[in-house]
Amino acid sequence: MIGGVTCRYAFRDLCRHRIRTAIMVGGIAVACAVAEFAGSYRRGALDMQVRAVAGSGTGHLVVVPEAWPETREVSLRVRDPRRVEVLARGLPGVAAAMPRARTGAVLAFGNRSAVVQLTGVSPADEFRGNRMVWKSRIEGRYLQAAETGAVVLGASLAERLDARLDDDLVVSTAGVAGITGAMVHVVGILATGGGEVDAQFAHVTLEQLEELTGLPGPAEVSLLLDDHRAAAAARQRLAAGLPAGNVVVTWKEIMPEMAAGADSDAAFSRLVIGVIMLVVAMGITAAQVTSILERRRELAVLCALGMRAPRVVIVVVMQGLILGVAGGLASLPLGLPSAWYLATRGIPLTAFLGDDLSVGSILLDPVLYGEFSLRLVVEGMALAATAATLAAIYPAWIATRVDPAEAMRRR
Amino acid sequence: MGMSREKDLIRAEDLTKVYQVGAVTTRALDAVSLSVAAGEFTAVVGPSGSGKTTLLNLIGALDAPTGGRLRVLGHDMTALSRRHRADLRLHHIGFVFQSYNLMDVLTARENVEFVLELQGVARAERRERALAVLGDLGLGALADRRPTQLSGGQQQRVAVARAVASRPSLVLADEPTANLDGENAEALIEMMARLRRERGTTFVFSTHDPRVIRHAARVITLSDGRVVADGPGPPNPGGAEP
Repeated sequence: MIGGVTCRYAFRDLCRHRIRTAIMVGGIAVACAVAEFAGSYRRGALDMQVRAVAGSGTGHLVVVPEAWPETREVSLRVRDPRRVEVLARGLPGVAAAMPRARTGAVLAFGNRSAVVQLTGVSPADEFRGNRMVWKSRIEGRYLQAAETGAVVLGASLAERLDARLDDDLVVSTAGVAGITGAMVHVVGILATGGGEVDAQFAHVTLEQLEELTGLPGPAEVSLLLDDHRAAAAARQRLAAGLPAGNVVVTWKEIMPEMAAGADSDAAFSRLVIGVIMLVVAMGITAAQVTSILERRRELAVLCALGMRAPRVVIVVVMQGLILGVAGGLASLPLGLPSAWYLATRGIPLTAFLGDDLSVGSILLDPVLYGEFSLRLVVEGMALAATAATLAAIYPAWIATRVDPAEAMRRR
Repeated sequence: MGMSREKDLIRAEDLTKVYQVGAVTTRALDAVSLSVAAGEFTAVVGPSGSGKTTLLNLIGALDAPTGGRLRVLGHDMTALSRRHRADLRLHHIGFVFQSYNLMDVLTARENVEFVLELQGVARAERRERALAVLGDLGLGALADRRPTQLSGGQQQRVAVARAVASRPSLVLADEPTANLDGENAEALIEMMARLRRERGTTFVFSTHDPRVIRHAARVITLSDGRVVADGPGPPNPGGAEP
């Protein structure tokens, strides 16, 4: 057992060389502050990406027909969709449940045409859960419940077709009865702020899509959650009550490239933090080795008095831990204000991306906010303590190599 | 010399220690045979380089012999592992070094307590024992001072307190008076003699100091790593009769 005198010795020994100790603590503090800021940014960026993906129509969780994950066939339909919607809306933390169906279609106006993925939606639910609908500037109006013969186009798509509000377009699609066509009236032109997104945006009601394809019901029910971190639990609960023939998939399974991008961003951020901490740890190791070499005689005396190697290791590692905790605490006045700034003011993405905030079919937030929570403090402290403690292992081993006979040598 | 006495605390036969540094071989101890009985107050004398410190290192389990046999407190020192040597030092041997070797970041009391803490003595008891031994050596009022706030003589007394607080059977002192003035040297050696009388602790110390030798009950003289003389010390009424 390590007693009070050993602890006092370990602590006071660090106070012997105050400047050296202060430099080590300062190094840990700066590294941890960087790690805290980077952690805030990383989680904020991840949250934003997930929010952008989920809010751009994909949802956090999606109920699809059982065969869909393998085939990605748009003609498949959800079994017992009414029950699925009721079940989804009844789950805690579900902000919106959006039934949808899609089909490939050709929109034509005058001598222009465009191949699009036509999306059939429930307008009220879409307005609740799809940021491209509720956040965008719209000329005209959005769809109304069960409305047929109406379409809402993205601004870029409308431009490509040279179509304006109140124009009538021809829509052709392949349905159960073969190729079918219909006239649809442009009731709204929507500008999301993302050119790429607008070029693909073509919404009709589910009822209209049913008329075109002859396939009743939605092909998916997307769930938007209040907090993406609750997705695993919500998925489990949802899966337990789903009618047979349906499965739940996550946004990561639907958009694996986005998920991989988010994961690689997080991994890179962790790697940077790891490299910073490694450099700091090596600095601590070098300083502690110097300290050990300086007090070889004192350690020899301790060994001569009967201190065994494990206790020598504990003393040196304890000193590393003290340095780590002190560095972690010292990092808080540096790291937390910067993380707070990131969480409250954020980084305006328009400064880097311009006005077009779309990436593929995803519409990003204009400002990236960091995360600010107790977790930053806990992680910062844990990182500092772990790095400094690990950094002390080699010096501790050096300390155990000291020859106790050195205690007898003349100064 | 009484080489086969049952109560021998230390018994060396043809004890040899050779140091090899590169191509240079130094025979620090050469076939030394001696024994020290429990409760003896023994001085090891000799010129610099005669092997005094090497002998104390081997007896104190700080180093291992190259040849010969050495038994200390019944332990065969040629066969002890590093760990067992540490245990032997901790529980049975006290050290007093020439340059005190106190931990300057700890107070006098904490220096004494440290060894007791290593032994696993409970907090209250070790504090009590540390204060008692410091008081016994006239340092009660200085217990909370750090070594840098003490004179050389006071520091060496703290070192003695540290050495005897754990109640060892054997105390080894390497030139304990080398850094002390005459008065402090006399006081220190008298104090050690008193501890021997009162506690029955065996003292073996290396020294050049004639004032110290005067108090020794037995004087072993080394030269070039060999024992060249071994006999009783000069008559001394205040000294250390067995």
